Amino acid sequence: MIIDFPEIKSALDEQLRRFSRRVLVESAPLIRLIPKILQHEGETHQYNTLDGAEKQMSYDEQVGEFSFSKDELPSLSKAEIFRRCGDAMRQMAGNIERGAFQTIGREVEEVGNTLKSTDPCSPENFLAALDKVLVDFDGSRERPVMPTLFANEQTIKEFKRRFEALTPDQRHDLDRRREEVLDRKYAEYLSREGDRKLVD
Amino acid sequence: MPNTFLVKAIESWLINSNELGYTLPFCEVLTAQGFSLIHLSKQNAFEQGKDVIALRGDELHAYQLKGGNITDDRWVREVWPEIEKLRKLPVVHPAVAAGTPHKSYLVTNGALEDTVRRAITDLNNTQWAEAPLTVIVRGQLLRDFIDASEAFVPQELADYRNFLDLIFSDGRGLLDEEKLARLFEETLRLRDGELTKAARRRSITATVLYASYVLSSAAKAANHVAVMHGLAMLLGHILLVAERENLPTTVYRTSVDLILNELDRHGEALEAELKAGELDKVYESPWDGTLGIFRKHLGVTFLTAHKLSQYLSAKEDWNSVSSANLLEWNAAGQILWGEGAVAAFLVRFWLFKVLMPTDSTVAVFLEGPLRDVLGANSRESEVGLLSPYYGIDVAARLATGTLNRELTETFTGRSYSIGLLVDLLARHGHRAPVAQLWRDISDLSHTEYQPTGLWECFARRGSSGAEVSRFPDQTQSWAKLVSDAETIDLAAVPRLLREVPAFIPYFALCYPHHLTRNLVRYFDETVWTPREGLAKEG
Repeated sequence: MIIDFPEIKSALDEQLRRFSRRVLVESAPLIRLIPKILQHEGETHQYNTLDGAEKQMSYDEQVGEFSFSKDELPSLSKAEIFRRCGDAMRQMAGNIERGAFQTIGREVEEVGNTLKSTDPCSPENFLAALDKVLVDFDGSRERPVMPTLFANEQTIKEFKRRFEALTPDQRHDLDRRREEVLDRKYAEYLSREGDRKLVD
Repeated sequence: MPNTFLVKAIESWLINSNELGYTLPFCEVLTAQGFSLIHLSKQNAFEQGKDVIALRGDELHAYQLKGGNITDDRWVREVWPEIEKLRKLPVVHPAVAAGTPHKSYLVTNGALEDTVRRAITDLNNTQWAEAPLTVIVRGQLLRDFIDASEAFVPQELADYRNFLDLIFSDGRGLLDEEKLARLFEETLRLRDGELTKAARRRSITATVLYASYVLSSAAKAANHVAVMHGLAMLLGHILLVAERENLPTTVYRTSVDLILNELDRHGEALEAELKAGELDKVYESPWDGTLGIFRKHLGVTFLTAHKLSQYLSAKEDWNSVSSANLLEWNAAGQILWGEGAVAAFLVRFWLFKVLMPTDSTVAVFLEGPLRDVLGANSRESEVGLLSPYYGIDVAARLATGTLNRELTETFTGRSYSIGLLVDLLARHGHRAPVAQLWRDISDLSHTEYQPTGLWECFARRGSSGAEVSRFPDQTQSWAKLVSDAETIDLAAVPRLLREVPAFIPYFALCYPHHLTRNLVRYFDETVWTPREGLAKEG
């Protein structure tokens, strides 16, 4: 064999691994928010939801592929390897995100918590969505832990545009109705928290 | 009380070696036991059944070396016929009077099957009774190697750990030169100035054995460049102790010759690899897009060193690679990765110069690096070339962004190589490039390390002496430049370098930071000294 540089290659492998993880996380905002748990042993994972349903986790294999032909190896630069890896990771992140939203969509549909609207960006729809989700509070009514809204860039822009287009009266009315929804959510929160007790 | 780990390490090495892997230490131990080696077969080529022939007093001993267990089938099919030749054919050697009887030995690092043992005993008692065969198996070899190693085991914990790191290193890569030098300094007991000559002899034997242990992973991976690098470092350190202690040749010369023989064997294996097109196969992983050129560079560099070494020791097959092939391989592996690489260009220059003595384009091996060093190290340049104190591993790490330490040194404004490149151009009459570049040449100081004791040339880092920087004269006479370049101070050339010219190319590669202008002039002169029986033409 012609002498090699195994230690340098393994350092480069490690650099590429770290880079790929960073790109993956940066390109997957939903995944970034979800806690990551490594299953160290066993073949399945069982869990139950807050409403008591028993579930079994299904595993999805996620693969980011990038390749090089033998002919291009002699002139392949480190920058090009990282570029292709980055592209593959961004594509993989997109696949994971899409898969995650599909899973969430399925679960939400299953419990009848889907909101269908012909005008999803309307302030009315926003209020209706708020009414559908579970909201926690950080100890008092004044401190709701508001859910995160995931949408593509265009939808977010449209949301903003529609809110900014509201007249002061419309805005005032919307705020009042949002507070009413949150009052209800707070009552639900207190009820939920009140249930957490040890009884005879 | 034997050092258990050392015993296990040696045993493991011995079990995993083939006959070529333990030939060097076996011969070294024979020498330490008072034998004089008169023949060591090349590449283990079968020569009258005798791999090693040695004399002790008037007794002649011939050895057939085998690797692994000898089963009944192997004995009948392969070994017995060879043993018959070993026993029956007389030793034909200039050092031996015709008809001198010899003792025959079968040596293996494995074991003999019971049936084979019985067969040999029966033969020794009957038809071989007059000249019986002596068998040396793993157990005895192991005892001999342990006996020779144990007294010189690294003493300090840190040194012992260093030895273990080397034992367990990845055989596919470069050896850690710093660790290897530390091991040799320790096993040669360089810090002990009171050793007797006999103890020095034993320490040299032990060091050769330790080198065999730590180089075995590279040898097993057929990583000839790493093995040659390690052997050259070993040879350098043995020459260091011989030079410093002014040892008589009887103490070190056999070891030197054995190591040169081993270097030759690995050089030939490397040559065979390159001839088989291995240079084109270095692109094994995507990282080889960047690292491939460094791998090729090392392969070609050690091959050229091997061929030049063969030339310097007047070996017949020094020109067994055609100039056209060498030029093609050289083009594939040419990279000036730092000033340390200038030594590789010098070795190429000398080899091509003797291969193609009338071809003036060979000067490109001097002019090219001179232009590059001047450009990279000029005072206007932001980043100069790595100095020769940094090896190719650092250059490869810089190229791949994997260097895990900061380089704070400034490399611009001076150079360790321009002076010696200018000297060689002047010695060979290449005035035009020197004249064209003199403005830049005179703007950079030439720096070199000048040790107090010449033995420090062979140390990884000298401890005394001075680093000397000198600007050339702004206005320079060509005649004076040529006259200076032709002046050699022999008193500043280590005695052992003069005694072992075959080591010169390896010295240049392993100690590029110790290449002074005077040494390079001497090396150039040595290459041009006619070698008896050799024709300068590839």
